[in-house]
Parts: sequence; structure tokens; C-alpha cells
Amino acid sequence: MPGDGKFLIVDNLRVEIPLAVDSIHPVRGVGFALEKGETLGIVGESGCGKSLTSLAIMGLLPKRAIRTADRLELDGLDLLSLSDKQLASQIRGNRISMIFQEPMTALNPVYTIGRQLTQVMLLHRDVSMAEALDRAEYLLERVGITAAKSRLSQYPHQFSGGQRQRIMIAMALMNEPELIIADEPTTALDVTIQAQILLLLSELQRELGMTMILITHDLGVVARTTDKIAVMYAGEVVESGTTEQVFGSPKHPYTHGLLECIPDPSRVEPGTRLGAIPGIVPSLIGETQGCAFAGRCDYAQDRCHSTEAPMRSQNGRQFRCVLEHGVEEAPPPAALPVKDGGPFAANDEGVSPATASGAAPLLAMDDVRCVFNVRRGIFRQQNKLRAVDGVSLDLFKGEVLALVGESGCGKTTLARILLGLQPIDDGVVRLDGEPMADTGPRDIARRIQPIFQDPYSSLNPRKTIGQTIGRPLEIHEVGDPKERQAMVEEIMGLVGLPRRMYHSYPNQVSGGQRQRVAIARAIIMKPEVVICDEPTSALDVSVQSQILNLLLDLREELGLTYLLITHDLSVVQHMATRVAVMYLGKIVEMGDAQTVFNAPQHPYTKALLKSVLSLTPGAGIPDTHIGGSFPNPLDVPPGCSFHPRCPEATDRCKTEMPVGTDTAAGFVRCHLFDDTAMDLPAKRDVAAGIG
Amino acid sequence: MAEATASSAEQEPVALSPGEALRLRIRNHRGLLTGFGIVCFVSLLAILAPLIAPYDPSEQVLARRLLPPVWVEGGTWDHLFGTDTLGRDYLSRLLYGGRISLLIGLGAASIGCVIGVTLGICAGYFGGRIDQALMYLFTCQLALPGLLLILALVVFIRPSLPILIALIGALGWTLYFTVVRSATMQMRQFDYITAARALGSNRRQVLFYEIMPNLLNQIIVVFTLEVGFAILAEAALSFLGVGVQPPTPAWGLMINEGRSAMFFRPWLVILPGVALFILVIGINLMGDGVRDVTAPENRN
Repeated sequence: MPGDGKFLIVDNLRVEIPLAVDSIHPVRGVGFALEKGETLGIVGESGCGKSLTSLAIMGLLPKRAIRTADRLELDGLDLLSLSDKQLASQIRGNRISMIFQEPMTALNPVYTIGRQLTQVMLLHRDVSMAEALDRAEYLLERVGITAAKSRLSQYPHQFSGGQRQRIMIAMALMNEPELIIADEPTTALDVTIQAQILLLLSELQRELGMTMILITHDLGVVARTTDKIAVMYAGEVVESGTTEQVFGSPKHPYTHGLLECIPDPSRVEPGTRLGAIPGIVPSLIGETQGCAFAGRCDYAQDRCHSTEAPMRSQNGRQFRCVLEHGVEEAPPPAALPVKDGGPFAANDEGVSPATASGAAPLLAMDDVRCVFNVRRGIFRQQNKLRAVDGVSLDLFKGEVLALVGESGCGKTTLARILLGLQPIDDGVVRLDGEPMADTGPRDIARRIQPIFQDPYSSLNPRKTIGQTIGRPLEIHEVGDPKERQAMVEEIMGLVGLPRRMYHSYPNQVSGGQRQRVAIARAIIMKPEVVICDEPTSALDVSVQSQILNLLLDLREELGLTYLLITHDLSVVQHMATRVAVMYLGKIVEMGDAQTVFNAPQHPYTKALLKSVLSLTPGAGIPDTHIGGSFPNPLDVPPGCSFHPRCPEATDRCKTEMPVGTDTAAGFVRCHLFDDTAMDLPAKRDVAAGIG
Repeated sequence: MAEATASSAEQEPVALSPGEALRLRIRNHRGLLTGFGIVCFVSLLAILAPLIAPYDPSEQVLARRLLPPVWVEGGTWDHLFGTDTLGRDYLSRLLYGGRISLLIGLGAASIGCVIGVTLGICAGYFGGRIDQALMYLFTCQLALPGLLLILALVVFIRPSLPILIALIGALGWTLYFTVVRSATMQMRQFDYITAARALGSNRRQVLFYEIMPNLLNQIIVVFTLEVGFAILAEAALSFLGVGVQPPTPAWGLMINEGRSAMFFRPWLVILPGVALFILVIGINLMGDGVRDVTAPENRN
């Protein structure tokens, strides 16, 4: 397979981790070859062996792990023959560099940036401190950190997450490596920052002629930045080829399924069901029999379970499947299991968004403010953090209102306010016209329920799934234990949990199933509003699509109203009927979902939309043209808080906060639209202007 | 590992209720059964001491002083474990001493547990001023040497067994406090606490239904440590003359009484030492076992 003369050759790479009785085989015969300067994307669900593959190339596996390979060569140099010492002194950090996922923990907090940057170079090269510092300064500037010289003496905590990731990139580049392995380099970052980091990485790569391996679960990122793709499943590369080939006409059923899961409006009608890969990644213990994917595959035949699928080569691409020509053609969206018309069409009878009809909102926030006093130590000055700063928001029955914004903009505080868990300092929240402050917590609980982001911390590890789902019934004293169990089992069926899990503990079920448990707990009391705080951002795409489908189904079935809080705009576009964009505690734009996506008004909304990476092979990373760092919420810029990042900022923006205007397309808080205000009072009933 | 458990759990027969599963796990846990057996055995001996002890534990027969146990040369079957410096039957004293030691160990550890866990949960869950105040109390307690404090207090209060238990217990809350406080603080941020509050749980329900079960692991571990510590504290106090008052037998007291003759009559120290060792081992095994069978997350 992998030919000669290639820059990086990996052939039949295997990793085995012995256990007491059996052993785990997380990497089972991975092979690929790269030319100099190429970018390879490795994609797959979590637990597929992506990261271990990269660690195996670096020789950084855990001690117990056993690595074998037929060939592992970097530019003709046999990496297998090198000792750990040689690898450390010659290869790692020198010829191969790595960029990790978590910028918050990848830098050592007790050393200055300058020291950490220069150390890599001093270790491998015969250079003086001054030369190393020069290089560090040059690279910091190159990765977009201003006043680089003075910042060399700063510590990691003085930088934001995006800046730290930039520093990590600079550190990886100190020795002009030939190969860069980036393991989920932007997963922990906000969308606008993600786009900037990716843009920077691909620019640098082109400029310096580096080869890159990009490991990620985000198919949009891969589609836009890589030349080649290897799709991994259960430790094997099941499909590989050029990016256009793989995304244009996926051959392996797994690749095909993954692409179907993505809520991409060019492929799937918003509001309709997404494709899904049922089941979970199999255990990697022991040897598998037959094709590892057979259990989840729509195309599986009897022989798939018994005999290993052959590797097929066509036009320079490979896939491992019994189907001779792979999945022939991506079925047109109509062939997908679409519930007729989806909720947007169907909700005319059952739940119709009452936005236009002028009905009273179910939940209304009027000029709500929530300020935290932040003080470090008794004698320090007290700082005010305005988490929610004058937000007016209406939620109508039956709609899906998406609240979008980067981390730190106050989304989660807003959710806590609506759940009645966070006292407010000013303004009023009304539930069905009644001030929420007058409503008891138990009444609020019956009507508004949350779903959280992290399915690992949202379930009590000491309670069985049945106990967790039935807990609301206990608290509100509904029925006797028998009736409760029956209700729990009914709701488990509704959210797609097998009944045998009633007595399972959360640690025994997968992440997607945990999220289903959280959803079941939220809806068992038949609430009116469900507040979904990043409900899918901790999940794999295949699971994300299952959860999104479930949320859409439940909305239709139970007539739920959703407040969807997320930073993932492709999810918003798929789910939402109305969108509110939040920036530093303020709503900057709000309007009908389609209008906002088709014709965004506020520069921030435009930047957010630009940073969405749709599946367009080779399209590259768009330049969002906004400033890099999210401002410190403790030190909000004067005037329009967005002006330091805004490409269209004027002098007026620096001093005067725009009040917000209701335009034909919705509400927008920007001086650019002051003149286009409609004949509505500026102090608004925002929703009335949307139609 | 987690995947392995998940798949093996799937193969399990479908409807195993938590009670049945728990019983199954208890039956398969050898450590728990052993520990439970030891603790039961020692407790039983202690409770039945008046029935099975061959002699009155405080009856002194000076003519038969310092008899060695039966397996050492010169031992007799009349006194299975020999006699002490005052000619009291050592087996009887051990049996009666077990009552006192168990009472002190379990009693003091329980008192400390109640105090420490209550304060720890309050500090961890409510934070802020309450936490600051309790932490102040905690550092004050740490700054004072516990035994010295008990000594000082005993000067004012006549030492008796209940007071001794209360004092050792009241000063043994610090370990519970730190452990529970930090665990609660960590847990407070978890979404399931927020979810419980959003479900309308009141403060009591959050503390007892959501937080308490998750603290059980740590509390059990600390409890088993504290039992051993309390028994040893009694020994130290008895040595200083303010603990269990002779002639009441207690293991700690016996160890201290035997120390003077340790080189020539080692069994005087070894026998109560072994008894103490077995009891503490039993309690530790039981504690670990209870933690294992009740903590679903640790079953990998």
C-alpha cells in the first residue's frame, strides 16, 4: 500500500494494552502515507483510536502499551529502530511537534511563556538564549500575539484560552518541525476563535511547508483544511482517500452514516430528522470477529459478522467493506427517514409558535440584570461582573428559541435565572404573566426543566437510572411507587432507553444514553418549557444527531417549548425557529431564524455565521475579520462592548452604547442600524416586531 | 475498562433490582464477609464475656503472677493466656477489655462522624461566611494538640467512660470535616445538584438525597481509620492515668500495663496488641467492602 518516496509512512500500526485477562487493541493495523506538505485528517467517533494512533507515531504511548508496525518511517528514517532516548532527543519537539486539545492545561502555570517557548529550542538545538528568545518573539508575533516581547515574561494565566492555543502553536513551531500532529486543536475553543486558530494553522503550514496530521471529530474542520482523510472506526482505518473523494462520495457505510448525521442545511432540511448511526462504538478488548462496524451498519450482510471485510482500492482511495463498490450513492435527502414535513410543517395543528399571533409570551424577561460581585481576598477591591445586563426576551409557546454566544457571554446565567435558581438584581421575569418571584420553586420546577451539557455530571452516580428519572415524581409526590415505576418505564420507552437499564447505574451506560436519561428526567413531569444548555456539545456527531432527533420528536409529541442555548450554529440552524445572539450579557441581535441566518445584521452575528464550517471540501477557513480575544467580562469595554473586535467600529461605538432598534428583520443593537429603525418605540416589545 | 463493564452489565439477567444486585455483590465480596465475620466474632465475644470468661477480670491472685500462656513453657491450662503482674487471668481481661475498646472505638468514631460530617457538608455546600467560620474553628482545633486538650478537660471533669468517649469523639471530627467539605464543594458544582434544585428539591432533599450517598465512600474510609485511632487514644490516655481507670480492663490499658515487662513477658503486650490488630483489620475490611458493594462507580 504505502508507496516509497513518501514523507511519512505508517503501515500496519498496532497498539495493544495488556489487561489482567485479555488485552485492549485500540489501534488495529492503521496504515497511511503522506507526501511532504500534505495534511491528513483523521476522523471518527471518540474511542476509535485516533489519539492513540498519533501517540504511537510519537512513541508517547503509556508504558504498558505494546506498539508494533510493519513500517513507521519519517522521511526515510525508521522510527521503530530508535530508542526512547533517541526519540526524545532527535524527534519529539524537534522534527515532530504536537498540539494538544486543552490549552488550559498544556502549559505549565509556574513558568513564564518565554521560558517554556525557549526551553524546547535550547533542548534540541545548539543556540544561545538570546537567539531562542528572538525566535520565540518572532513566532509569538507570527501567531498573532501583540507586544510579543513584553509578553514573553508573562505566565499562562495572563492569557486567554485562544491565546494559549496560539502559544501552543508557537511552541510547536520553535524548531521548525517537519510534521505537526494536532489532536483536536480547537475543540475546547469558541467558534470564532476556532476559525481563527485553524486559519492560522493552515497559513503557517502552507508557508513553512509542514506536513500535518489533524485529528478531530469535527467533520467541518476536516473538510475545509485537509488534503486527505482517514476515517477510523474501532481502531481500523475503514476508509481513506482525498478529502473531495471521501466527502463527495463516501464509500464505507460508516463514513456515509457520519456525514448523514451532520445538521448541514445544504443537505438536510432544518427541523427534519437527521440520519443516525444506531448503537455505540464496540469494546476494543480482544480480537473482533468479522467487520467491527457490522452491528451498526444498515448494509450489513450475514458474512459481515463472520469474515473480515476486504480492503478495496479504487482510484487511489481505499475502503474496507464487503460491498464491492461501497455505498453506491448518497441517498437523496428525501430517502432519509424523514417524518413528513418535520415539526415546522406539522406544528400547525398541535403546537404553533405563537410569535406572530401576538399571543402573550409563556416566559418573558423584561430588562433583567444579574450582577456578581467578584472579590479575591478580603481587602481587594470588589469587581462587578454583569453576567446578564438588561436582557429582554420573550419565549412563546411552541417555539424553539436559540440563544447563541461565546462562552462567558452570560448564556448559562440566563438559563439559571429562568429556572428560578439565580436571584436577579433588577428587572422582572414573568411566567405566564405572573412574576416569577411570586411563584414557588416547586411550581417553577413543574413548568420549566433543564437539560445540561455534560451527561457525565448531570446524573447522580449513586442513583440508578430508574431512581433518577422517577425522582421528580417523588419530589412532587405523584402516585405510589408502582405507578411511578410504570410512568418511568413509559417515559424510558419514549426517549428510547431499553427497559433493562432501569436498574443500571449511570456509569454503565454510554454518553448518549445518559443524555437520554437527563431528557427523560426533564420531561417526566410534562413541563411546558425545556431549557437545553448545550445539550449536544459534549457528544459525538452520531450521538448528537440521535439526541437532536429525539428533541424534535418530543417537541412534536408533547408540545414542548425549547430555549436552546448553544454555540454550535449548525445545531441552531437545524433546530431553531427564532434566534437571539448574546454578547457580554446583552442581546445584540434577535429575529426569526431564517432571517438571521440569511441576512444577519449585527457584525458579531455575521462573524459568528462566517465561522461556521460547513462541509465544503477544500473551501479553506474563512476569515471572520473580528478581533481575536473575547474581552474580560469584569472589564467591559466602554461604549458598544463589541467595538474592540468589530471591523466596522466607528468613534461613536467607542463611547456610546447602542440602545437597539427594531428593524424589519428583527431586533439589533448596533449603531449601523440606528437610522433604519422602524416606527416602533425604541423601548421595545421586541417580539412584536418579528413576523 | 468502562466498556467492559457496560457490556458485561448488558449480559446480566434483565431485571435485577438494586436489592438483589446488592445481595449478590455482598455474597461475592470475600473481604466484606471476612471483615464482617471478624467484627461479629469480636463483638460476640465481648458481649458474652460474662458468660464465657473463666475468671473475674479484676480478681487478683498474687501467688499466680505473670504466668505465661499455655503454649509457652511453664503455662498451665488453668490460665489459657496466662496472668498479668497482679495475677489476674489474661483471657478474662481480654474478653472484658474488648467491650470497653469496642465501645470507645465505635462510640467515639460515631460521635466524631456526626459532628464532622454535619459541619463538613454545611461548609462545603453553603460556602462563603459559613465556610469561613467553620474553617476557623477547624484550624483552631488543629492548632491544639488533642490529647493535651483532653488532659486539660479531664482535670475539670472526673474521668468516666461516657465522658472519655464523648471527649475522644468530640475531638475526632477534623478528618471527617476536611474530607466531607472538599468532596461536597466539588459536588456542589455538578449539574445533578442543579438539576435536583431545578426539579424543586428543597435544601434538605439536596443534602440528604443527592449529596449524602456520594459521601458514603469517604465517610466509611475515615470511620474505619477513626475507630483504630480512638482505641489507641484511649490507650494513650490510660497510660497517662486519665483514661480508663483500673481495674476496669481495656486493651489499650493492658498494653500500657504490660510495657514495663515487655522484654521478659512479651505476651502481655502481644496478646492485646493482636486483639486490637484483628479488630481494626476487621473494621477496615468491612469498611472497604461496604464501600465496594454500595459504590456502583467502583466496580470496574
